[in-house]
Amino acid sequence: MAHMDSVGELGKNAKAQNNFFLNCQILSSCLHRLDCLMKADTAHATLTFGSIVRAERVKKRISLRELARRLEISPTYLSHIEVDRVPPPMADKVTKLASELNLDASHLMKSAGRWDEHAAEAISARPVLRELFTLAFAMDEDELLQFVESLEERLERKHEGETLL
Amino acid sequence: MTKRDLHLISERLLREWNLLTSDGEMRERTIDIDHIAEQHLNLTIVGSESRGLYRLPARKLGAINIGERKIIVRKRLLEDDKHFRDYRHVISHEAAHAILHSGLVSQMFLPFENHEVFNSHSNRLAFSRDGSAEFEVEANVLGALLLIPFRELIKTLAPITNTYSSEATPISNSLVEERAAAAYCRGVVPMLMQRFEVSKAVALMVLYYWNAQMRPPLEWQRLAREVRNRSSK
Repeated sequence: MAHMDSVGELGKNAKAQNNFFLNCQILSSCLHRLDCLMKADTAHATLTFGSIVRAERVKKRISLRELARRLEISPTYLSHIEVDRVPPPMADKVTKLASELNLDASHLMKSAGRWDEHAAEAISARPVLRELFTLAFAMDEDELLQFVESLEERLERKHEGETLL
Repeated sequence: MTKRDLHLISERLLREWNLLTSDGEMRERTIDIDHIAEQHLNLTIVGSESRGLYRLPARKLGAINIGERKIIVRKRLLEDDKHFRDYRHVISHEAAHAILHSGLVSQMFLPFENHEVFNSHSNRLAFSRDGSAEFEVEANVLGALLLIPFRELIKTLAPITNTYSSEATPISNSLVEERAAAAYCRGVVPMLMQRFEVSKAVALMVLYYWNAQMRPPLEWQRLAREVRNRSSK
């Protein structure tokens, strides 16, 4: 509390004397603190889909309006994507976003939790895979995990067989 | 916060962010306030929604959540290009709040009692409440000064008064006042609006600000007449 008091006192004096040079010093120390704060902020940021998009957009100095115009979505919707207020957009928009921001499309798709177009196509092209996914949807998490493990085991055995042969 | 502090802060910050040359002139045609808010102040701009987390109270155009470093701006301003100038006004106002009232500068400049009042609000949405009007005025003025830097204002007003000679003239407050007064009668507000891409409110704010004694426009009209008479002699 003693510290806070002294800060308050400093503020009073600065105002009373209107001391130009003192204000300059105070301002530069404020700027320094702002800098430190921002560095700390970026260091601990979690990388959600929205935050990746925002960081890249700000880095490339594209405004919210401009990027929204290029993607043919509303700026408000884009701003909500950036704060992760809404889920990431559909795959085609994610691809477009990646090309506008010069990002790796598959990486962005992964953080968006979306299938890439080709994967979706490949699945719908093979009826067996479609069946597999329909079945998988009905399973609960533990069952699915076991199933995936057993699949992995089978694949491994298959590969071992290949090398033995 | 005195008037002079606000000018000092705006000039200093714009230089720090490399938006002004060493002469105090703008590096680009207009100040990119989006870039200031997003890059330099690390604020996230969010469009308002009709219900939920980012709802704005009726008739409010913008708000800032200093704790989360988010600016919430009325959806209509963000989406419609015809409101672009008002949008810039709102962003500059909220950015000024972030500069002055986020506990960095305010801790240093404000008297202790104000600081305490402010702290009780600082982690919530900083809506203007009774007693925070002072903060709103500060934010309005600093926001306007960020959009219209001093030196560039003088340059823009120069053609209006024929007494201006570029580099040699030391700029005094009274000169600015005279120009602002002369300008007032010659449709300078639309001119400033166009030159700096700002709303009418911002253009007027800056003219009021540089009119040293905060005189009403009537006084400017008288001053303007004097200037005109002098130049016609």
